Amino acid sequence: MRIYARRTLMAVAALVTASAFGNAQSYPDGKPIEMTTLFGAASASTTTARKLADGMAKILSAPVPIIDKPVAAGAVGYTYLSQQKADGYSIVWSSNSISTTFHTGQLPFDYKNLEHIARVTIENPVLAVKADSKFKTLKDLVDYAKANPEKVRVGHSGKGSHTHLVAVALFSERKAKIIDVPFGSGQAVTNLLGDRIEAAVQFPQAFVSQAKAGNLRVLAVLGTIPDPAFPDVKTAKQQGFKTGMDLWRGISAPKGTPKAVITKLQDAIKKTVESEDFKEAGKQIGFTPAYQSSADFTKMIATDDAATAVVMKEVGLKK
Amino acid sequence: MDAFSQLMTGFAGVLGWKPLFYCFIGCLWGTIVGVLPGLGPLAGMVLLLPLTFGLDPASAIIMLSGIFYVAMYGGSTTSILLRIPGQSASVIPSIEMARQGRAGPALVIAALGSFVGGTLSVLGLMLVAPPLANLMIAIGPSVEVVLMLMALGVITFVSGGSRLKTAAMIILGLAVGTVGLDKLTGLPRFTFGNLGLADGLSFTALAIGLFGISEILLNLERSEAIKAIRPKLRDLIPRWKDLKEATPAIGRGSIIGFLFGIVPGVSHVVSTFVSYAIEKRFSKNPEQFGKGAIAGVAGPETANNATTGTAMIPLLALGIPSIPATAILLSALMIHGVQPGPLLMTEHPDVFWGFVASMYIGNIILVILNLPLVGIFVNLLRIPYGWLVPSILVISIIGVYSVNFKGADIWIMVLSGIAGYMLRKFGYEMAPLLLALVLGDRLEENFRLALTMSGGSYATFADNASLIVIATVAGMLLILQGFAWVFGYRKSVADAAERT
Amino acid sequence: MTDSRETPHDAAGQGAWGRPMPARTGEIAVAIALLAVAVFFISQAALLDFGHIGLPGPGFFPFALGVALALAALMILYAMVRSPDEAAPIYVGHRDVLVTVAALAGVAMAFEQADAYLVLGTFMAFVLLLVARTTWWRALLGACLCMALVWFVFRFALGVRLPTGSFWSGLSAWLPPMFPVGLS
Repeated sequence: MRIYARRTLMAVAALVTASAFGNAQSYPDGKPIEMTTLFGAASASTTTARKLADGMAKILSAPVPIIDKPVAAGAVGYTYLSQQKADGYSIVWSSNSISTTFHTGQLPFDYKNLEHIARVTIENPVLAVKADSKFKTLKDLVDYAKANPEKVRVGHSGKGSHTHLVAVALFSERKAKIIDVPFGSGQAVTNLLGDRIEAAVQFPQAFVSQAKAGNLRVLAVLGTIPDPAFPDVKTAKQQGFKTGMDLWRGISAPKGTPKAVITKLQDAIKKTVESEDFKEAGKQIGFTPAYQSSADFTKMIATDDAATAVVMKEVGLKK
Repeated sequence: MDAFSQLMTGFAGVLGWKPLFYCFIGCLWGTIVGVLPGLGPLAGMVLLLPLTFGLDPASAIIMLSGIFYVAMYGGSTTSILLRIPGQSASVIPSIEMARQGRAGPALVIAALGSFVGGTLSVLGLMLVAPPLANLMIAIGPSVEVVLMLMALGVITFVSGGSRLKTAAMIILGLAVGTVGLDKLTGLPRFTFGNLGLADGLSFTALAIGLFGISEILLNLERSEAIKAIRPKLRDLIPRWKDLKEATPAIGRGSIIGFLFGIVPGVSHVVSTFVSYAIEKRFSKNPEQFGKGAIAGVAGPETANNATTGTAMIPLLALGIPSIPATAILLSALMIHGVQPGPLLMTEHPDVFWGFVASMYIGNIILVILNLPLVGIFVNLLRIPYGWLVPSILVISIIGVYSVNFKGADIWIMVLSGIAGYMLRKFGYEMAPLLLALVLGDRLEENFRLALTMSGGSYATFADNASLIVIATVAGMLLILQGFAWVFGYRKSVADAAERT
Repeated sequence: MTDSRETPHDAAGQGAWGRPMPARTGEIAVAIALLAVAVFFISQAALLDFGHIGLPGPGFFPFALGVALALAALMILYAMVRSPDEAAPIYVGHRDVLVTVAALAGVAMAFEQADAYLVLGTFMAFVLLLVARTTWWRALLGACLCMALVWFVFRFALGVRLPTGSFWSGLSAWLPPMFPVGLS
């Protein structure tokens, strides 16, 4: 009862200060910070967001409710967020989709129109072949593809998806022509096992159980750092390629969100991401915690955006 | 042995309080929607779909499938107690019994039959699905296309009403399914630059509209004030004579239901009629049929629920739903990022085996909810329909909205409800439409994928694997058809009975 | 049964509950509607890339389906026009159906603009009053009860956030943050 009374008092006091001065010092004052998510209430992405929101809510002692806008690959969610007040009470669970939706013309503005608070996770695309495949290394595969244009079929998760772009980037870097096969509903692994494609690019979760069972061989991680699910597999960069694009996810906010608020959110995210609890969730859901500060994150997005634009132009998706 | 140990793991998973709780909630809701007039298994599943988003995939499918098989039975309760045939024609013999003043025994035999049929069909599912799934890895997009086209063809052929109208509904469903971004090229189709349409028309909104809203509108026209029978508990203790008569019929019904469960689209309707025809043939005194013979209740009711397990096989082993209910399960699983298909059992053994185990438990819950507690659910029949209508509609609206948080989805629901109402009034079936809506994407995607992989050669649709699959499936269907024919099942008879 | 009205369910009695329409006319109308949908798909799909026979583009499938649907609709139309008008008339425009449809359309229109709870409550009261034909105070009570239940189940237990107007956010500002619900 006493706690209740105290909290009420605190809340009333906070309310008064916040509304009277609206200063960032007392942010967030127990007021809800709405996090917009982009990929469906039960998707792995939103599950991760929920985990993060729980952690942030505890640290900031304010509720962090999730609003899901899973429409048009995130374009609707970003647009919605950009129209919210830049007061720190509206944030978005952003990802590479901000670049892809902009370049396809679905989103009228690009990443520069948002403040980027912190990177939270990355997911590594990985390339695998069947266990009895004649390709033992990534170099074998790419060389063969180069010598035999339009013979190697590489499966991914749909045109314009991250796995598609990274696959194209990898092969075109050595000027190898492949047939890319877009599996919209996650049948890439089945078709790889059924010998109907030569290789597939997917996120680790899709490969883990089949690789453990010895049915698949993972040739390379196409992200920037090795993946905890396949600790022995080297990245493409380590194998002498230039391609390294991971699927990042982080928190962004409307343009003009006060610096002090950004710092507060960034620190809360840092604490959450570095907690044991979050790491454990990563193992289950299939992501790698990869905190980056606001400044680093913004720089990273700029590089990533440029690379994405190049690949999308190549596959004819860039508007 | 492997299947057995896996199943035990599945049971261990299900026996935790959480999955058990969701299984119970599913069965409870299934009983409620089954008993309430105007809400069938499909509407029941669709309405609860949004509530599963916060759950893990295993719990979600456990809950939704619970609604499915329990509501399949629940409809019988209403029909028996109100003495009117509801959506499923399987209950006609039971109604005859109820008219003879033997509603109690009819209920008991129907519930026991459903339990046995349901349980045996899960056993079949458990034994057939894993080896089948392993074979299915060898099947590529081209063979899937062939399979899906065959399924749609069979649906046109066997489902109730005019074949031309069914074909029109299938084509309409496939066409509506193309709205949204083309998965292979990322180009928008029929969106008119509207971002809200980029992901296609919401399946939930369409399904609730076509099945739920149209059903409610149709019922508003013909709500009948018939007093429900309140069965006495004493009547619910089965008599030895009844059991003795019913047992062989239940056995036959299980086998028929399991076999006919592979018929796409309308498996439960066909299987119940075939079972009825067979029981009549086997009966020592066929003149009793139509006047409340217990075997006439036991066989069809068992067959009805014995199709549930088989109907799951195409979904779990191939990822292709064959009836509307499994289409909804598919969309639920996809929302959770679980792709049913040949790899389901290795990638998500918790989902598959938990689901199988939950079906055993769910069938037990079915009997408990529907026999001793039937009195409680009968009270639901006393709620005036005018009060039920707005309550169901409010749940539907919130349910539809909460999937994507788009106001436009409510419009889609309302408009498809009106369209469904008009179409159904003129004898167009909604089940083929819904199924085509789900299969459409897959069909087109696989068709184009197959050509991409074959380098544009159509021969890929007639390679060895395709031919083997076509021959096997066609052979099985022909044998079933011949079998049904021999025992006097005719589509025209089933159509006529459905209309009563 | 508190519901005292008796809906006649024989064809003759239904006349009071809708407008009779010759079955054939209705069938023809539905077939024409299907034809219109088919024409829409054909005309729109024609704008998309067809690809070539070896690799159909995004327009190929919808176009083919549009043509197939048009054929089916024409066949139904043909059969119906030729068939004698013998079937029992179909009754359309039942009062309760019209009321419910109108109410649903109202909800769809107002749901995101106005407050979802108010809209659904009004809908509930409206349908109870006109379809269940209950007294106005029962309808009002029923609507309030239903909304309380909706709030409890969806907002409180399941965390579904419905669009709300200024009314609730004004109210929630007065509630202590103990209630993480914040209503809006």
